[in-house]
Amino acid sequence: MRLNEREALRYLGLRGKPADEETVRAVREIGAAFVKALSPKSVSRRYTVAVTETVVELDGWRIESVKLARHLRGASAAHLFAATLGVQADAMIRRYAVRSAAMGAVAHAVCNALIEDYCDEMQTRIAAQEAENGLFLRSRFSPGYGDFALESQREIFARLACEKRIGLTLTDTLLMVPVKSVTAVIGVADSPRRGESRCAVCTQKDCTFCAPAADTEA
Amino acid sequence: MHPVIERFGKDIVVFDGGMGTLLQAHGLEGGALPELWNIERREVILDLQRAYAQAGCDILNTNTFGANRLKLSKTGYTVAEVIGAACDIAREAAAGRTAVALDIGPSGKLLQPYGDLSFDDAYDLFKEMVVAGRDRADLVLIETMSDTYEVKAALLAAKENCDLPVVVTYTFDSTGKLLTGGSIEAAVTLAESLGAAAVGINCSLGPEQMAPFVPRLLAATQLPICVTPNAGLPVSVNGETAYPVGPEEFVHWASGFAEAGVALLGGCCGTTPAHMRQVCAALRGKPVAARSVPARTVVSSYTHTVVFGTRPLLIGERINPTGKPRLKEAIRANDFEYICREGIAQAESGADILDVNVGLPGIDEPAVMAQAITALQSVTDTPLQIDTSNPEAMARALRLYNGKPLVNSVNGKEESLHTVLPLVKKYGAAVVALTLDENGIPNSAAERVRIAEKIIHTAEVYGIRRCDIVVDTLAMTVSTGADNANITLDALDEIRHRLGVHTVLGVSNISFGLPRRELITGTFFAMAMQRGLSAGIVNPLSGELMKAYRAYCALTGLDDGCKTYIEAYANTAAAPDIAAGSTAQTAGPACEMTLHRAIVKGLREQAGSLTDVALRDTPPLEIINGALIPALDEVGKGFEKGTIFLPQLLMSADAAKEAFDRIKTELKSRGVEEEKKGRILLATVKGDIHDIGKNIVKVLLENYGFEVLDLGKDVPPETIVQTAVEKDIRLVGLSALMTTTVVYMEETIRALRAAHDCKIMVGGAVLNTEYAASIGADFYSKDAMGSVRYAETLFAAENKR
Repeated sequence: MRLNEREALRYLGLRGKPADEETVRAVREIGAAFVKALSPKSVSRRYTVAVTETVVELDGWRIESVKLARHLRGASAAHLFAATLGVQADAMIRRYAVRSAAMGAVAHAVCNALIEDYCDEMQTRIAAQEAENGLFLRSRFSPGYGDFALESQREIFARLACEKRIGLTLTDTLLMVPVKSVTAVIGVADSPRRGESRCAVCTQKDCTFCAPAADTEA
Repeated sequence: MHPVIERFGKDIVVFDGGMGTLLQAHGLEGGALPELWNIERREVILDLQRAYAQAGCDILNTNTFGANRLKLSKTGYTVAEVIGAACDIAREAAAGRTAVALDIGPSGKLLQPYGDLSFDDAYDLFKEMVVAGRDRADLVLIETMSDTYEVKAALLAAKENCDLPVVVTYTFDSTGKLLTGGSIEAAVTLAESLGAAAVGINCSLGPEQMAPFVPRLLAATQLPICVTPNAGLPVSVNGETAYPVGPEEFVHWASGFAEAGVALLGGCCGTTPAHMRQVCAALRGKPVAARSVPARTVVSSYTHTVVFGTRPLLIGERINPTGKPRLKEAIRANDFEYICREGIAQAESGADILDVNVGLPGIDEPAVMAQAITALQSVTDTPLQIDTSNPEAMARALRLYNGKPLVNSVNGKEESLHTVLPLVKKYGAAVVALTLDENGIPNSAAERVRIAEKIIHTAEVYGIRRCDIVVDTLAMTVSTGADNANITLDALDEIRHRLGVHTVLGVSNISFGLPRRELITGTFFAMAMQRGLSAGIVNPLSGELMKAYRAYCALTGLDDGCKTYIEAYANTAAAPDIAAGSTAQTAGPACEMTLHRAIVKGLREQAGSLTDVALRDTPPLEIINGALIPALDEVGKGFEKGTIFLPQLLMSADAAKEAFDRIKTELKSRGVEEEKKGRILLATVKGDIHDIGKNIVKVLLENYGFEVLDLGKDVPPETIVQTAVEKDIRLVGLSALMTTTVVYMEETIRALRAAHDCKIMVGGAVLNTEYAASIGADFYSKDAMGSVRYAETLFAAENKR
């Protein structure tokens, strides 16, 4: 897991604009502290899928979501995937935030960048396994994106035993704790697809974090 | 008591093997609850457990791992039904010979402060399981635990609701850590302190991966150790999960563990009756290999242990309101952030343990103590010392503390002995014993030693081991008695070396009433360490005291290669001796301008010291209006225009906050009340645990002169309404991150509208102006500055009226 400074700065709302020296220094220092202290964990499992225009059938689980179905078009299988930076990240963020609002915000942004990087790393490993059979991965698609219902979290958590395996839990309101965590469906198909933007499926307008298009190739 | 229990630690006892993985082979679907099969597929469970009983296992674990009210909530079955059925099956399979363990796994939730399950709710959940199974089980097995706090809740639930022995096994990752970051030693210490009959490791790893951790388990406690590996690390074979370690290999590893001194063996995921048959044949009933573990004085947090006796320990004394007006004010105002900052600062300066004393007349000390302990353990992993003379506050803190704490203190008075020691025993703490009794503090070392002996003896009657007592021989001010230091040190020496008990002193008392106190305190500290002081209750932020400490450690070989000493002082010069009456004056020209710049640039320390300088000749209000507000405005406008970004805005806010803090302290000392522009209530709504946005808004509003009542996160609508009504709040700010929690925001707004006339502003990632209006909010703030501007407009209009 490595810190992508540019991503951390984007999460701080800089949207690609140059950051001042102090901010960059804080991002580096705090980023190094997190990289050293954390041991992120992930779990995933592969299922065969059947995809129609509006529905994804995953091992007996019927997911009605046009956006997910579109995302998985052409996929024959999918990995359910979950990853977390662990509760130590939450504790460290809190420690920074108590001392300084600025450091707290930087710690949050750094962790957002780190969990994404860790997911990318894990996804690369899965991709390598699939590549052995000439298959390609689609980018991560998470509950809450578009019309992929947040309620799907319950099914993903049950199937992956997230609590037991990686210490990731769900609140009654479907928030993940530890907070810096990701769950996703990752499609497997026999052809690659390029140029998917992580922000492309989002319906939110005027988002502070929205990445300029050049940044978001999957 | 079942005869198997009596064999714990004497002969090797064997638990059964895997259950869930075998049920999957019988068609249990991924994500389904295995516990329901106690009722729906009873014969499968019975066959499996019979197979384990016939394999020779001593103990069958009921199929109740996840049979708690949360996991069963939508199944139509109650906890009592599922656990009752499971116990029946296990009893039947046991056929009168094999013992039955009531199996309790994790709740599946993360506990507060990080998750949404409160400690008390976790306790209730486990209590329900214990009550459901206690009459038909021979012991309780709390297993696959990855959070010490959950273990504490489960262990207390078991201990308080049944008389059965309790075995605790944890799951560690490949680095030997709990998922919450706790070390093997911290995990073991907590279970041992709360009265577990045996402790160990299960699941997640195979025997080979567990092997390096077994010696650490064996060295961390005198309790019998239990090792329950998976049949190796799972591998994927044709899309199915398989466990690679067969019975022969498994028993090979198990034999090695037994030779090292492990007393209880079992199998977890992937193990089968075939595995356990071989383990039983090879090892069951053999005498447990002898091991020698010295009794040690240990306290712990949720991450690590602190052991007395290696080098003198530093117990940070600063969280104690005596003589500290700013802390007093923080305690009265429920400002736990201030208390947390004091804790973090001491930990970073080298404190091994933090003393926590919040005793003030007229406050609800048990409630404040509980909040302080909870707040502190959410930001620091330094073990805590619970310092109170209020038994209720002590009990509350002991219950909520996530680790094995030190209690400060018991003394030789009968009342103290019989109030404090039962609490210490129940919650498994270590305790500071003060050498005073009904006749006060004795004037001789011999008498202080006698009181120490009496306390140690009484503690032993209560079942508290002498290694869990740390004696304080009481440093008395040397200016009022020439022999005071000698008496304290003579008593200390004898207690440490003749009685073999660890010692502690509140070091700084010695210099009370003298000039240049740090000289006396530092020298006394060094003398005491030389005579056998195990821990000093000190101010680790005091440079002079730390000099004495680091020098002592370097001189006595406790600082390898003088590394710590060199690190601390390599590039420092000795301070010039300060001549009385002259203090360094660094007031530069054009103070206001400089302070202004410090805030704009976000230079926190400079902002603080420049404020101190300015306060010498400038009225506070002038500093605020002339420097602080214009600086904040400049930064705020830059942020709104998009030329300044969030980090800089917040750095300026931090700097301004520091300046305001100095002004506040100055006003306090002059007895002047601060004027506030208006009072605002902030909360993250029920169900939501994301509070970064709310916290940023709070900092900015406070800097702009508003009084903020921060109710925190996951706040129920009732609490918000009640507070708004009671405090007559004009503006409420609510935050919610997700669509699932905006529901509670809407509910809160509805409840507020029905009960109280006020304005409501909202913020959060999924909101926008239209959405906010549709749920009844008056204002949607897209960022923190927006809420400041709204509050300013609103209160300007209100104040005009």
